[in-house]
Amino acid sequence: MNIPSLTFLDFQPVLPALLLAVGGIVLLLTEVFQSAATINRAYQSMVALAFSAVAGAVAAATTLEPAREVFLGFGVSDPFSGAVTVLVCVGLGLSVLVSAGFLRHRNAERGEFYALLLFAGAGMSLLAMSNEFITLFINLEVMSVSTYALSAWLRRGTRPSEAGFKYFILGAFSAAILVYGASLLYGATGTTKLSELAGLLPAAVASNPGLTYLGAGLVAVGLAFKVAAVPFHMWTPDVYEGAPTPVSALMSAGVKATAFASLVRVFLPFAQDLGPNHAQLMTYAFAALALLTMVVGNLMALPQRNVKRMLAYSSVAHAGYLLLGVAALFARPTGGEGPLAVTPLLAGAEGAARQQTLQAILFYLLAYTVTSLGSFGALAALERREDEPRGTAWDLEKFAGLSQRKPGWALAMAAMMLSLGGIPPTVGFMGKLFIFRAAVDAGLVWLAVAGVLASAAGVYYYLRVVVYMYMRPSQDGVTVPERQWTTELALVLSTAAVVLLGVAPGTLSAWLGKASVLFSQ
Amino acid sequence: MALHSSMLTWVNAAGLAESLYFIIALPLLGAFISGVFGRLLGRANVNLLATAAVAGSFMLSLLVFAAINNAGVTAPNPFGDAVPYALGHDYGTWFAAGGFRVNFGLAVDHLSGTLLLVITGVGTLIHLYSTSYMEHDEGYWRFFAYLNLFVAMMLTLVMADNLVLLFVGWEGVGMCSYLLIGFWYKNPAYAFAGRKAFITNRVGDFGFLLGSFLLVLMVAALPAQAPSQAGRLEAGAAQVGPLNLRGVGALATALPYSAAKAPGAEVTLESRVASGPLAGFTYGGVLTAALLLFLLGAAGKSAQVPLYVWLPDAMAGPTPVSALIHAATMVTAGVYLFCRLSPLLVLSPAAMATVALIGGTTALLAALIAFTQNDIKKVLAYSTVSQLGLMFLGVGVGAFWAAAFHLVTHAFFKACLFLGAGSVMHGNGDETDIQKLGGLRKEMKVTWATFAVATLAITGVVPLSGFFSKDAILHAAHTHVVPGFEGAMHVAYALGLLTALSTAFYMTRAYVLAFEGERSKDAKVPHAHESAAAMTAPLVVLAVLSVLGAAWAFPLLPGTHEPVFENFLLPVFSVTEQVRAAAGTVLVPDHAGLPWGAYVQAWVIALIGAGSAFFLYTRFFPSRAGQPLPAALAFARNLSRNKFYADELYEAVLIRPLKFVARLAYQVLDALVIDTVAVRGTAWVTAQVGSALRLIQTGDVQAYAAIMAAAALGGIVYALSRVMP
Repeated sequence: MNIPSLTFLDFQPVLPALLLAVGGIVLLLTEVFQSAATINRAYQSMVALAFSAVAGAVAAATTLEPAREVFLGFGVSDPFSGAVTVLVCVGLGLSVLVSAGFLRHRNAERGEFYALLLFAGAGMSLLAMSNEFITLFINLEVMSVSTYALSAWLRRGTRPSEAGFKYFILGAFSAAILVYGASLLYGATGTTKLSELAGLLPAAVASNPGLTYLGAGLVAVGLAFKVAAVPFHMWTPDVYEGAPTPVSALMSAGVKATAFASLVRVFLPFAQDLGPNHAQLMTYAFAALALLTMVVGNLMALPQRNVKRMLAYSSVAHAGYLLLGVAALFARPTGGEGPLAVTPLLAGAEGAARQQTLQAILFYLLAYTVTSLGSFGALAALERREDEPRGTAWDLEKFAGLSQRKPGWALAMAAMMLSLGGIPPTVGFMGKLFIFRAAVDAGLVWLAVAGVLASAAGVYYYLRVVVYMYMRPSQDGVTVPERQWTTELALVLSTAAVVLLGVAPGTLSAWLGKASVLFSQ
Repeated sequence: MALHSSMLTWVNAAGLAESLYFIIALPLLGAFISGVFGRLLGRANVNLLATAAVAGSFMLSLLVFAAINNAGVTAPNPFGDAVPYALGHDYGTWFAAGGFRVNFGLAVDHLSGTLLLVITGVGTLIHLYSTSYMEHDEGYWRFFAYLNLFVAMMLTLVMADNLVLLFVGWEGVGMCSYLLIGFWYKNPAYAFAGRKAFITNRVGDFGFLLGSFLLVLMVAALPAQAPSQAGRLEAGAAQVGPLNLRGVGALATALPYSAAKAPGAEVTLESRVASGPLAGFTYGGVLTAALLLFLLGAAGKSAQVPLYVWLPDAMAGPTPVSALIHAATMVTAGVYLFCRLSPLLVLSPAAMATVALIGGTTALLAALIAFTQNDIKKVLAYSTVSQLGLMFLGVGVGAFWAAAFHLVTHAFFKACLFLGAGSVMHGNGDETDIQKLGGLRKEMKVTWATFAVATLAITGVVPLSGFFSKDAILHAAHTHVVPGFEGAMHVAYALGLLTALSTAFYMTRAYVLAFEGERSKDAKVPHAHESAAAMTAPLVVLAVLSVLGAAWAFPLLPGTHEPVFENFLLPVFSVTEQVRAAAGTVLVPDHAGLPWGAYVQAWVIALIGAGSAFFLYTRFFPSRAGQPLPAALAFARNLSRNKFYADELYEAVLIRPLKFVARLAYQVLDALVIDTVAVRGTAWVTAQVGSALRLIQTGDVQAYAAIMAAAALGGIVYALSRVMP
C-alpha cells in the first residue's frame, strides 16, 4: 500500500479547519466535566468565539499565498479558498455571539451546540478547498450533518424537529444525487479530481456527451440544493423558520458561501471551449437557475408577514443574485443573436474579467454574510420563547414601534433591511452593483435587468419592516426584550460593517481583488 | 502695482492657487455649523461664526486680489498661453462620459477678483448688519446658515473656471434666494413669492443649459471640420473639457467672422456644420442661438424682461437679503456671465443688439413702474431691475468694462440704500410705506445721511460713483458702432437716457417722501429711533465706498488714457478685444481724455429729474393735497402702479394655460396611468403571483422531493436534447 508522503506544507492550509475542530473537541470535553452543582457555561461561547477568531486570523494571514495543490491534488490551497474560510469564520464568530444570548435566554446553552457550530465551520473551510469529488462529498457531509443536528437543537417544540428532519431527508436526497452525478462523471472521464477534469472534458464530451452532461447536471442539482436555488429551495423556508435563529443565520451565510465556492470550483472546467454544440450550455443552465431564483425568491417573500420566513425567502433571492454572478463567471464570448447571446463588453480580457467577476462574487458573499447575520441577529434578540402560537413569534407586529422601544436595535435592523434591499450607503448596494456590473460586462444584460427588477420588488418587503419599526405604534402589552451584550455586540459589529463597507468598499476590494484567484493547471 | 509685487514676494502663487477653494469652504463650513448646530450654539455664537466665516473669506480674497495684481502671477491655460494677472488651479476630473469631460477648477482674474471682494466685503457688512437686524427673530440660525450658504454659492459662481461649475453656483444662489425670500414661510404670500422666484429662474435655467449644450456641440464639431484652426481648442477641451471658460475664448478665436475677413480659413461663422446633430446649420446661427439662450438664462437670474417679475416680489425676504442677494450680488450674475461669454458675444451683432434692447427696455420699464410705488423696498427693487437693465445695455453695446464697473458701484450704493431702508423699517415699526414716513432726516441722522449719499450716487450726481459708471455705459452706447444694427443701438441709447432721467426722478421722490418734510400723521410709531451701531456702521462704509468708487472712472494711471477700471480689466477682456478687432463687429472710437460733453449732458439730465421730483413732492403735491389729478396723469399713474399689468398678462397668457395642461397631465397621466395602472397595478399583480406561489409551499416533504426530482429531470432532459447528436 502506498503511503502518501505528506509534509507540513500540506497541512498548513487546513490549519484553520484543524483549529475549529480542536475548538469543538475542547468544548465537547469540557462539557463532560460540568457537574450539576457547579454548572458554568459562560466560557463556552467565548472559547468558540476565540477559536473562530484565531482560525479566521490564520486564514486571513495565509490567504494571499500562491495557489497550489495539497494532499496529492485532493485539495487546493488558493487565495479564493482562504477568503472563503475568512468569510466562514466571520460568520461563525457573529453567529456564536448571537447564539450566546439566544440560548441562555432559552436555557439551552450546551457545549455541544458550539462544538457542532465549529465542526460545521471546519467542514465549510475544507469544502472550500476540496478539489476532488470524494473529498468534496465528505466535507459537504461534515458540514451538513452538523447543521442537521443544529437545526433540531431546540428539540422541545415541534417545529425544530420537523425542520431538522426535513432538512436531513432532503439533504440526504440531494447528496445522493450529487454523488450519483459525480460517479457518472467519473465514468465519462475516468477521474474524480477536478484538476484533471478540465483536460479530459473535451474528449469526454465528444465521445460521450449524454453521460457527461447527466453527471454534470446531477452534481449541479446537488449543489443547487445547498445554495437554495429555485426549484431546489423548497426546504429553505421551513428549515430556516424551525431552526434556532442563529443557526438559520449561519446556514444562510456560511453554508451558502461555501456551497457557492464549491459550485464555482466544480464547474469552472466546463467553462472552456467544448465544441460548437456545447457552447454556453453551463451559462444557460446557471442563467436559468439565477432568473428563477431571483424572481421566485423575491415574489414569495412579498406576501410574508412572518419576518423569519421572509428572511428565508430573501436568502433564496440572494442566492439568485449570486447565481447571476456565477453565470457571468462562466459566460464566454459567442457572438450571435438571441435572448442569451453573449457579446461581452470586455472583449479580449477574459482572464481579467473572470477575476473581476470572482471578486464581485466574493464581495457579495461578504456583504450577504454580515447583513444576513445582522438581520437574523436582530430577529434573535427580539424573538421570545417559541411556545407562542405558530407563526406569531416572528410576526411583523413584533417590530411595530421598535424605534421607540429600542432605537438602537431598530437602527441596526433598518441598516440590515436597506442593505438586503440594496440601497446605498450600505454594503448590500455595493455588492449588487458589482454583481450586476459583472453580469453586464459578461454580456448578460437582460439577466441583469431582470435581477434589478426583481430586487426592486424586494425593496417592498424589506422596507415594510422599516415602516413597522418607525411608523407604526407599539402594540399594547409588548414587553421590552431584555438586553444581551453579546447580541448587541454582534449587531454593532455587523451594522458597522454594513455601513462602513457600503461607504468605503475600496478598503476591502484591494484584498478581495488579490483573493479572487482560483487554482488552475 | 509695483508696491504690491514687492509686498507679495512672500506669497507662494502656486500654493495660493491650490488653496483657492478655502474661500468657498469657509462660508460653506459656516453654513453647515450654523445649520446643524446653530440652535445649540446660541444666538451670539452663530452671529460670530457666520460673520467671521465671511470675513475670513474676505481676508483670503484680499490676499488673492493682491496676488493677481502681480505681473508675474499667471493662471495655467490648456487652450494657449498662460493667462497673466490671474490665478487658477485645476483639481482634476470632476466627471467624464465618453469624450466629454468636466474638470473641477477654480480661477480668479481681475474680474472675478473684484467680484470676490464685493461679495465677501459687502457680504461681511451685511452679515454684521443682520446680527442686529435679526436680533428678535427665532430663526436666526437658519437665516445665517442660508446666508453663509449663499455666499459660498456666489463665490463658486464667480470662481468657477467652467460653465458647469458656474452653473452649480448659479443654481445654488437660486436655491438660497428661494429659501431666503420664503424665510418667513408661515406667511403664504412670502412663500408664494419664493416659489415665483424659483420657477421664473427655472425657466431661465433651461436657457442656460440649452446654451451650454449648443456650445459643447460646437466645440465637438469644429475640430473635425477645421483641424488646423481648432487644434488648441481640441487639445484644451480634451484636457479640461469643452465648457471651460478659457475654451470660450479659444472657440471665439478659432471661428473667424466671415470668409471676407479671414481669407483662407477652413471654417468661418458663415460655414455650415458638417456633421453631428447640428449638421446643416451655420456656426454663426448656432452661436447666436446659444447666446440668446444664455440671455434667457441671464434674464431669469438678473431680472430682465420678460423674466423680471420675480424680483419685486422677492422683497418678501428680510431686508439684508434684499441688499445682498437681490441687489448687490446674485442678480448681477447674468452680467458676469455675459462678461465671461464676451468673446463669443462680439461675434454675433444680432445677439448684441438683442441684449442691448432687452437691457434698455427693462431699464426704462422698471424705472417707470418705480415712479408710483409706495413701498420703499419695492421702489428699490424696481430700481435694481432698472439698473441691471443698464448693465445689460452696456454689455449689449460691447462696453463690458463699463457694465462690470456699474455692477460694482451699484453693489455699493444699492446695498447702502437697501440697508438704509431696513434701518428705516427697523426704527419705524416695520413701516415700509413711504407715504406714512417722512421727516426722518431729523430722527435718524446716520441713516438719513448715508441714504442721501447713496441716492445722489444712483441719481448720477457728480462726483459720486454712480454718475461715472452709468455715464460710461451711456457714452459707449452713444459712440460704439455696431455695423448693421445702428438703429437698434440708437434706440438703446435713447432708452438709457430716459432711464437716467426717470431714475433721478423716482429716487428723489422716495428720498423726499421718506426723509424730508414733516412726519406723516399715519406713522406707526410717533418717533423713529436710530438703529444700533452694528446697523449704521455698514451704512457708513457703503456710503463712503459709493463716493470713492468714482476714482476708478478716471485715467489716473500714468501712460494710459483709459479709466483705471478699464485698464484694470484689460487682461480679462484681451481675448474679447482681439476677437472684436478681427471681426469688426463693434467699432470703438479712440477715446482720449474724458468725455466732458457727455458728462455735462448726463449731469443736466440728472438735475432735471431730481429737481422736478424735489419740486413736485416738496412743494407742488403738498399744496394741492385733496385735489384730483388730471385724467391723463391719473391714467399713467394707474398704469405704472399696476406695473403695466405684467403679472396679469403672464397669468392669462402663460400660467392659466400651463395650469390647465398640468392638471390634465396630472389627472390622466399621473393619477390614472402611472398611479393606478402602472404602480398599483404592478404591485397588485406581483402580490397575487407571490401569494399563488405560496400554494406550492405545502410543507409536505414528499412534495418537495418530488418537485426537486421533476425539476432536475426536466433540466437534464433539456440539456441532453441540446447536446445529443
